[in-house]
Amino acid sequence: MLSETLTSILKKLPAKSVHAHCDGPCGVYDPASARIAAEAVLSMTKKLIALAPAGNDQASISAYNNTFSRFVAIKEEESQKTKKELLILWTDYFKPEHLSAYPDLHDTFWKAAKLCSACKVNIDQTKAEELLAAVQKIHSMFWSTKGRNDNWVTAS
Amino acid sequence: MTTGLRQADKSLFQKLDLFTFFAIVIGYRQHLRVVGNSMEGTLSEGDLIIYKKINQKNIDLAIGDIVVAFHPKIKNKLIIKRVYRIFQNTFDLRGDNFRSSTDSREWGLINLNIIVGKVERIITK
Repeated sequence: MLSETLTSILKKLPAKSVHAHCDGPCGVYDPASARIAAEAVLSMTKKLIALAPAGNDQASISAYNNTFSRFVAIKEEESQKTKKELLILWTDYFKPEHLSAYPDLHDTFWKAAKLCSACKVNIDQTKAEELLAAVQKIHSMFWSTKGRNDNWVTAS
Repeated sequence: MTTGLRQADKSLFQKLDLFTFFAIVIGYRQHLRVVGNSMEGTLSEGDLIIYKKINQKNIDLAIGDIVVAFHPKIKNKLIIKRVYRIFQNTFDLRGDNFRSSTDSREWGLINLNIIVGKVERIITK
C-alpha cells in the first residue's frame, strides 16, 4: 500500500528525460522512399524509350527535345535519390549484427548503388528493372530484420 | 579486459520503499523518465529509473549494470545504456535492443568521466 502510494507520487513528480534511442529519428527508416524513386527511374526510362518526335518540322523537334531533356533530368534526379535512400539504409539502419543473417548485405547494396549510377547515365530498361528488383530484395531484408513480412506493393 | 553478456537484474524492479523515496526527495538519488526504445526488453518508453551518482573515487560498476551517461557527441543529453564490456576505465555501452540502438558500436568506448550514475531501481509506467 505504502509502496503504491509512493510510486504514484513519484510518477507525478516532474522528471528529466534520459534517452534510450538512436541519434536519428529512431525507427523512421523505410525502404519505401527508395522504392518510389526506383519506380520513377523505370517509368522515365520507359517513357524515354517510347518517346519520338511528332513530326519533322521545327516545332515538333523542339517539343521533342524539350520533353526528352525533361525526362532525362527527372530520370537522373530519381536515380540519385534512389542511391541516397539506399545509402541511408545501408550506412545508418543496417548494423554489423544484420550481416550474420544476410552475408550478402554489402554486396546487395553495392550492386544496387552501381545500378543507380548505370540508370543515371544510360537509358537502359533492363538496368532500371534490375534496380527495382534490387530494391525489392532490400525491402525484404529490411522488414525481415524487424520481424515483419510486409508485402512488396508498387505504386505503378 | 573483462567481457560478459547482458545480465538481467530482478532487484531493479523491486517496489519503491520509503528510504528510496526519501533519498529522491533530499537529492541523494535522482530519477529520470525513459524516452526511446533502445533498452526495450528491460526499459520501455515512459518508465522511470532511479539512479545513484557515480563516486569517481570509488567506482562500483560491473558488466551488466545499467548506467546513465552524457551523450559523447551531444552536449547535456543524457543516455541510458548497459555496460557490455569494461576496458580499465573505459566502457563499452550497448542498448539491450541492439537493432535500434546507437551506442559504443558507433561512438567507441565511453570514458568514465561522462558516466553519471548507476541505475538502482526501475519503476515501470
